[in-house]
Amino acid sequence: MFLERLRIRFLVALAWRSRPRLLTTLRNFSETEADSAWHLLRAAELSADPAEKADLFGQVLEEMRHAEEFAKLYKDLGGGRMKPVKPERRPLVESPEDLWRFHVFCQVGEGAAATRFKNIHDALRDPELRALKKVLRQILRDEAQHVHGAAELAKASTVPPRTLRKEAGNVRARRAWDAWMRSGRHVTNAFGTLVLAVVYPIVGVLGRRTARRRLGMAPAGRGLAPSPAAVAPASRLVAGEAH
Amino acid sequence: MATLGISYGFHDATAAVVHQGKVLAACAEERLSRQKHDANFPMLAIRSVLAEAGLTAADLDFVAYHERPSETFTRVVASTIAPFPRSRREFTVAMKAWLGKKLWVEGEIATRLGIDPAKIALHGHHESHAAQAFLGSGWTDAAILTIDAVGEWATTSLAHGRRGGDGKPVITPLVASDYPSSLGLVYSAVTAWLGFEPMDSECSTMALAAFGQPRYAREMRQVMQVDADGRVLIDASFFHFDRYFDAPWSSRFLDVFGAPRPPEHALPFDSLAPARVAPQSQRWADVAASAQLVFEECLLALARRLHVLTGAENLCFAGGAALNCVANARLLDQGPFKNVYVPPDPGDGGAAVGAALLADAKVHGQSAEYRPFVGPARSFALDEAMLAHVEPKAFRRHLKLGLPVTSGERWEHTRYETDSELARAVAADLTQGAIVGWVQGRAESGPRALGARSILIRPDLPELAKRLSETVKDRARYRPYALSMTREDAARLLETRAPADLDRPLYRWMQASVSVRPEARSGVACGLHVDGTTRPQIVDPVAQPRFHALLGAFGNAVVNTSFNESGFPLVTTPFEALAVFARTAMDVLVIENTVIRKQR
Repeated sequence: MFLERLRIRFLVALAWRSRPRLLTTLRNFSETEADSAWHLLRAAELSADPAEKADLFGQVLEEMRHAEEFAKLYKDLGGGRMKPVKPERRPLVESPEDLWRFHVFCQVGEGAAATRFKNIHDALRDPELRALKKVLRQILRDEAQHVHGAAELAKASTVPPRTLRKEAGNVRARRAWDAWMRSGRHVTNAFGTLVLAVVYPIVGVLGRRTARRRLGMAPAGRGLAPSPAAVAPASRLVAGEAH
Repeated sequence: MATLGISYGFHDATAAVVHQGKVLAACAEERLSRQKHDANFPMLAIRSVLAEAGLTAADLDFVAYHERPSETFTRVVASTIAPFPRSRREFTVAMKAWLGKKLWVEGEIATRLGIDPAKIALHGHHESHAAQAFLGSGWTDAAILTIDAVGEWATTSLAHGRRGGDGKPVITPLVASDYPSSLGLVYSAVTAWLGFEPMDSECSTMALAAFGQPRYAREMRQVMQVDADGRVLIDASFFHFDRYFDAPWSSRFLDVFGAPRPPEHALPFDSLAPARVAPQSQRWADVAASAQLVFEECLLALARRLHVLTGAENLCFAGGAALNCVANARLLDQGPFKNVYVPPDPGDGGAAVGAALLADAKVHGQSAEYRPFVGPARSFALDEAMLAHVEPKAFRRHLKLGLPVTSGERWEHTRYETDSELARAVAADLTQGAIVGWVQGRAESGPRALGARSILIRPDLPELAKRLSETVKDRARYRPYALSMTREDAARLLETRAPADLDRPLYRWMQASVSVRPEARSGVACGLHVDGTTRPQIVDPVAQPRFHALLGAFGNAVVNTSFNESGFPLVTTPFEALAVFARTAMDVLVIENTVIRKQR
């Protein structure tokens, strides 16, 4: 916990001085909330209990609003209209019998998100980010209710407490594995960039002329000039004139 | 046994199931993932279409993909290498995407579906578009035109579709234009220059064009042309297509057409209240008008050439460019063909349908008309018992941003036993100025809301349209709404040369604009563009009896817009509809025969 708080403090104090990094984080936050809304919506559709459905439905609206709040902050802080991340969406549960797993997942996931948001909230000092602090405060209140609600719904299922605890452990392990894989992908990505930086000049020098010929472009120059062959004599044009 | 068609990897990932020439189900991934233009592997859509068709992956004869990735890869390599040494970033991004994933489509499909790779068939992208248009039309002889941004290399294709000696359909390619000679890319580049999202907001360029004069048409004709052989010619020195999503225009383009519109610069045009605007804004509209005009000229030139080459009476038109309803109207009115068919989803999503139709036709040789209502009806029952537990005051803090927090609101729901009772009740809501969400049966395939997932309002109160734009849709004022109507109302409202013109296929699914009679305009003002045209849907009483009954009970056309919030795809399930209803200022929600009303 201490390390995580330290990491967040570093992130907020140093990394977020770079506006693009801050904007990327806000975009990810918005995506996380939109993703939660999607999963909650699917869970509400799966549930057979009207009261549970209604409860989950209320949470959907909250998460949608959170996603919207982050998108607005993104825009207000100079990012313009936010382009969503659009990761592949995969359902967490497929049948009503498995909904208890979903509730455990929410309890752990929303709990982790709430902790992260709280650490960020506490570390925020920049007056320019006052709006973010305010949004985080509102969201923290909602997330605390979600965690509590998910715990209640999990408890209300017929699954024994021991199984619930075991599932919570599994969820934590899965989340840690996902985080590890994400780090791995960053490393692979950086390595790929390095390799391609070496490959680019070689392929560029050897292939540029062929590529330009294939595209019907002039053989030299910085612009994309049309090759003389690509432009028809004016007399042959049937569109683009005399209209 | 059946064929599954898939498209993904660029935008609008889609899955479709076809059996003996009939499209049993089609669904874009975005409709289930709630991410507009979702390009990911369409696993949710595949499950949905298989479930709708009552099949499993094991039942599939073939899985058809809409593109040949290895050919596309050669184009991507060439286009990122050609500008060397200033294309390092583009090269790196493209190679990571292609070598990391996009090139290995067959492996991914086989692994994710658990099928034999031998069952996977790769079809050319424009071949898929052509099949979607021709096989989906149900016609036995037709000219085929496909225009989009780019497939593998082809950007525009002219072809002839016929029945072969064995009775199976045959598509003969006639003329093709290759990248970078692309009308679609030019139109998208102009869209980006106008500050809109390319490959998404081309409809905004088309809408903006109506406010401008084509003062730059001469210059635009230097940019895109069609020659006597039916080939597209682009002066590529106006563009950097390799930087597609990041300023694809060159300094030459800026010299001729001026500075681009910054996205944050609001456009002051209003389709309901035309007014003079600042010269800067007018210039953007004029360039849009010029691009639209020259695009239409090129389209007509291609159609005329195709008519000469084929001698066919009918034209099948597909590719993203076929979504341009203003150009379609000109094609219909001034083109050489008697009939024009545009499939319900002519863009890349529909290419999945085309790929499946093509694979299926090679075996079965049959074809039937591809109609729009083949989307999902999954999880369709609305749990009315749940509504008793919903307390709107509990989520009043979580409405759409910008809406005032409501208090004292209640929801009341009523189930109507007959369609006529339902129609009368909802017509009364419309008359009273309610914004009505309308969800019925299987969802539409394609981008148009056609009365399965629609938001409706009465068409004669501009203030109501303004409320809809501001409190539900976040819609820019320069974008007009469209009208749905019965055939009787169409005869009263629309200005066509002959009454029989109303039966043209393009008026069934909002695919062509048409003028509204001047004397009738005030009665449907909210569904008109600034030039007095509308994009009509003449509702088929057989295909949509409930929607038709509603229009009959209302006694006029209604404004029909997609059931979604800005930035989201159309809703699919009742819960998604309920979420939009709860978050926005929508007044009434109709799900099948249940009506939920907000009581304030």
